[in-house]
Amino acid sequence: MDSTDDYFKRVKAEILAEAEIARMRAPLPRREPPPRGSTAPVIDVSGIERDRLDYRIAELTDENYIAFVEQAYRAILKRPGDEAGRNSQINHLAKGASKAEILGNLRWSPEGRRVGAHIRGLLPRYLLAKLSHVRGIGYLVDWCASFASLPVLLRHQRAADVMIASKIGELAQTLRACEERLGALEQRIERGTSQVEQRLRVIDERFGIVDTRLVGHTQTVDELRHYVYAGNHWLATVQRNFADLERIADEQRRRVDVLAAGVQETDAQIKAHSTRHARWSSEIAARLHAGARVLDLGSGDGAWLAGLAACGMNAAGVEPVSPLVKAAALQARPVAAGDPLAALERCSDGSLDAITLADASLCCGSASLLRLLDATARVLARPGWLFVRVEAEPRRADAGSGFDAERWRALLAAAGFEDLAVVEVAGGSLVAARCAGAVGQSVTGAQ
Amino acid sequence: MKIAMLVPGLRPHDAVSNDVRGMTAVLRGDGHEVAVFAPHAQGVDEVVRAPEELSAWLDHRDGVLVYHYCVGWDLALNAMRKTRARRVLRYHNITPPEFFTDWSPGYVSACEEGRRQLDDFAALGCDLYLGDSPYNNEDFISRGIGTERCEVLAPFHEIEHLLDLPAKSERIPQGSPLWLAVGRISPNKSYLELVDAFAASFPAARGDAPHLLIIGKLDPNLARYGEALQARIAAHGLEQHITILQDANGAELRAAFEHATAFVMLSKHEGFCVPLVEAMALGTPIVALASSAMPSTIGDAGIVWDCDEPPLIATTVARIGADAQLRSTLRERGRARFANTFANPVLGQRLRLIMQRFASP
Repeated sequence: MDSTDDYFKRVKAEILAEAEIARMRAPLPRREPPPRGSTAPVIDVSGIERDRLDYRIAELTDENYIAFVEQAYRAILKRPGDEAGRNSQINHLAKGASKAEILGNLRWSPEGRRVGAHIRGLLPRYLLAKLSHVRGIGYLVDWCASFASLPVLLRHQRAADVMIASKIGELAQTLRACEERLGALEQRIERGTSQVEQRLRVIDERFGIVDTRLVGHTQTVDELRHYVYAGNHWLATVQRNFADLERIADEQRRRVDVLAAGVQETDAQIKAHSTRHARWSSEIAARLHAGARVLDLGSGDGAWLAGLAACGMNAAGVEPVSPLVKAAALQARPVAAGDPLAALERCSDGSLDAITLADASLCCGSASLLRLLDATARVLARPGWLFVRVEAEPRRADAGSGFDAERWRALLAAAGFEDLAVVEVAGGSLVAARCAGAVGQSVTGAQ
Repeated sequence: MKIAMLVPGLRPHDAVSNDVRGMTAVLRGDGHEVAVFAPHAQGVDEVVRAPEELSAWLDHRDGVLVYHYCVGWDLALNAMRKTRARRVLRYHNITPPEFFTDWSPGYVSACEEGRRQLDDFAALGCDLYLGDSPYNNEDFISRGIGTERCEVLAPFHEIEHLLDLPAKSERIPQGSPLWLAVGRISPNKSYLELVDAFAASFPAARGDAPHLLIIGKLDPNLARYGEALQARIAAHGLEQHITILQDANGAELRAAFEHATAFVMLSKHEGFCVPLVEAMALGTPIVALASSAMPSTIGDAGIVWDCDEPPLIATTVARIGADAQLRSTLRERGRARFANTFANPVLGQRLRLIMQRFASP
């Protein structure tokens, strides 16, 4: 445990170290020199003639009371009077001391001796004043001096009477002037007060007008506020409706994806398809010449087209479902995205040698059986063939036209197609029909 | 024994006046006949006689004339020269005039005259030179006065009265840390340097902003110094952090000491410095410059430095604010020093001991 002195030494050492760090961290505050001569000195040194040491006593006795003492300090000691010294001399005066005694007190004080002012006629008067303070003889001297100066005192007294009367007259005159001035000031104040009251009334009226306008503007602002609220409400409703529409669109896209996923096949199904399609392709090739132009409607992922191409035909397809089109594109199969009927309608008359059609594709897009047959008859060259694939396991999630091979055969026969044949293969049937009549002629009579 | 106290003036809350009244009360309590002579007095409950009556009242060799020397005063010098009584020069010190050179010709003149009389009083060979502090006595020892004729007696004061007052803190700033300085606003008190030191506390200040409270009057004759102080405060941009109270009463002074983190005194000339004792009595930690009489007044009851470098002073106050043990130690030491050394009863005992040398004619 440290003793208290050791504790103090340790604390002071720590403070010194902290101060050194603070000194390095921050520069020393500014230490500006004191302002010199920027303002007037507070002490009034007027009336001090430092080089003058010769005075007449009459020069220093003109003033009275405090002014006399202050003048004496400045003339004899060459400085303003200090509080203690000045009060002391004023007390002397108040107790009846003569001015000569006060002047002598200052002149023969140690400080006055050092200054050494010469005041003509002061010494005998000062000695007489001091002599009057000596017990016994002082009274006698005072009495004699007073008696001797009685004529002078009487003259002074008469002069003083005249001066006092004169001063009283001056005072009365000054008082009258003050009263007149006061009266004028009172009138000015009354006029000023009246003007101020008048202006206050005007200000009150203007405040009233401002209040009225303020009320009107407040009502307008309230109406605007209601409009803004209504607009906000309408905007919120529109936003909700747009959100609903976007939600429905998203739902539809999800549904399409579900449908697309529904056509994914197993390996066994793919093998069965391949076998069936190979057979059907050879049947089709047997009816067409090499390089025949074939359009497939509802091509799916384009596997069917690949089989036609392998048999030497110039085949292309149209598929409305985007994921299947993308799958075909990945395998470089010529499948275009689009509605089958719309694609068929863009083809010119007699421009195709054959059209192949998956029965199931009739469920997609805008295909209608009658419009399809009409369009087919128009675009097929002569001879031109229509082949409809009716497969036992539908490749789409829902059913196709609902027709089996025999009904397709009956339908096509009724529509004027000739050389009808059905090629049965395990898992499906291919209905082949040759378009009769002239190129561009409708099979249903529609224009 | 008849004892005359001669003093340039008596007024309330004045250090010299308090000393006169304290000495008078003790000496009267011991059965002496004591009269106070002063050219003017106001606001004090003491019958004061005119100095001109002194020679008539104290007209025999057995009496003692005690002159409280704090200004140049020819009347007193003459009285000390002429008296037949034994002479005691109670020396409260006079500020060297060079402190006022840039500020007030009147003060320079008055202080020059006051200090010039040091030679006169030394030449008088008074029976006793009674200084407020050892520092004061050096003025006479250096003029050839023997130490056997020199004694030290700290000035009597009104601190016990201050301790009885209820604190009134409405006008006391609540800054933390709160720096406090007490004393008239005068160049020797180094208020410009105090503001510099206070400004240095700002880079390291955390939390509340520090505040400096100065309690002291500005003499109109030192108005230029007051303007310089305001300019220095403005130069540091500290107008919002420094408060100057020129009209604080006793209750507010007490509250200021109680709220203050530290009493900071960087004065370059003090004959004793009563506010230091007030700080001790009220348990306010002291940070001071080791100048003039301050080290002997403070003793071991404060932190005293040989320089007033701003970072050092600022760090010291910050440390006091942050270190509870240091605060407690300084507080205990201050109170103990006041009770054992500066309490009025202790001073009374010391005065009685000193006055024993005048017991026999």
